[in-house]
Amino acid sequence: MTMHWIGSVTASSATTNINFDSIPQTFTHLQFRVSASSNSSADTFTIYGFNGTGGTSNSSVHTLYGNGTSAFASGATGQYNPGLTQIPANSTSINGLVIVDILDYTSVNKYKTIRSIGGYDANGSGYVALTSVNAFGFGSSTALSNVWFYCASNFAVGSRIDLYGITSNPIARGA
Amino acid sequence: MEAIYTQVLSSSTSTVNFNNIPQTNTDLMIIASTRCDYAAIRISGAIRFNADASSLYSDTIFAGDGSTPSSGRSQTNFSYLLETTGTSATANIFGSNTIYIPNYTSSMFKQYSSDCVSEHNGTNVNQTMYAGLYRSNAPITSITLFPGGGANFVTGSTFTLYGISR
Repeated sequence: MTMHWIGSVTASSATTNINFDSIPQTFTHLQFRVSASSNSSADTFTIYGFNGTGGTSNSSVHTLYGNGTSAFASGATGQYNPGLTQIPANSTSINGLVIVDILDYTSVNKYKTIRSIGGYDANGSGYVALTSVNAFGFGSSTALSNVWFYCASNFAVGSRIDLYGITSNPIARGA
Repeated sequence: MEAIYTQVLSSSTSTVNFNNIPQTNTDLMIIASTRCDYAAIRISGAIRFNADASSLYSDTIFAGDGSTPSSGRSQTNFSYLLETTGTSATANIFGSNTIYIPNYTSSMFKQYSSDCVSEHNGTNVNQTMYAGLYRSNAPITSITLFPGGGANFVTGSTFTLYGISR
């Protein structure tokens, strides 16, 4: 197998942060699988805290998104906690789904590009986005070992994020 | 899910090839971190199968460029299926791509899709979803990836082909 479960965090009480610290440096890529809702109204699901740099992370973010009526695109730089998509209000008994990929997270030669796809449908409302984030303020010369996710309205109880490591060690060579 | 081949570029190259793909899996997936020497912030990359450069390919695109969403279509001798940063993008930033190719040994035409982003420390760069079609009944035994505009993938770009079995 080349895809390995590293760990999961489930919110046992309403909390603004779900953090993954001390991520093993033994994989090639990371994938976060998110099943989460907001403790209040639908809210933005964000990523930040690259190795705990928090407010100095200075990221760029670009999003292609739709809300069931129209399509939009946006871009911004200098972001503290860039939004990836939206997650629904927990009153809907629905969790949003987001897949977040970070390739070559141990590279000391690349800025870390975060790719996220996901959102939610709540039977009459919804939001879906393909988003990229560049952790520019984090720099290109440090491996990534901590990733934090944030919801200003708090993640609702039961929100869960699973982290997987993906290897690229081939079972055969010759290409 | 098993890694079949990995290529980590130590020099520039115009194409990345996966040859002699085992016919023992159900689906294929490619994860690629891409940068090229095209003189722009970003450019699309493309895919061909079985070294077939005939006009059997098409694709449909849904993209955002940091300000405007768009959708388009092409029908030619390759399918667009990648995002790659170019020389005008901030140095050491690479595109991020996942390509999924189901039923690659089937005798049916081949459908495939990808979600891809280029990045740049600026406001305008692309996020793109691609859907593609290769109108061939032949099983896929080789894959060629290349950046648009006659450019080259540059050092540090990585490509891994995975086999997925049910």
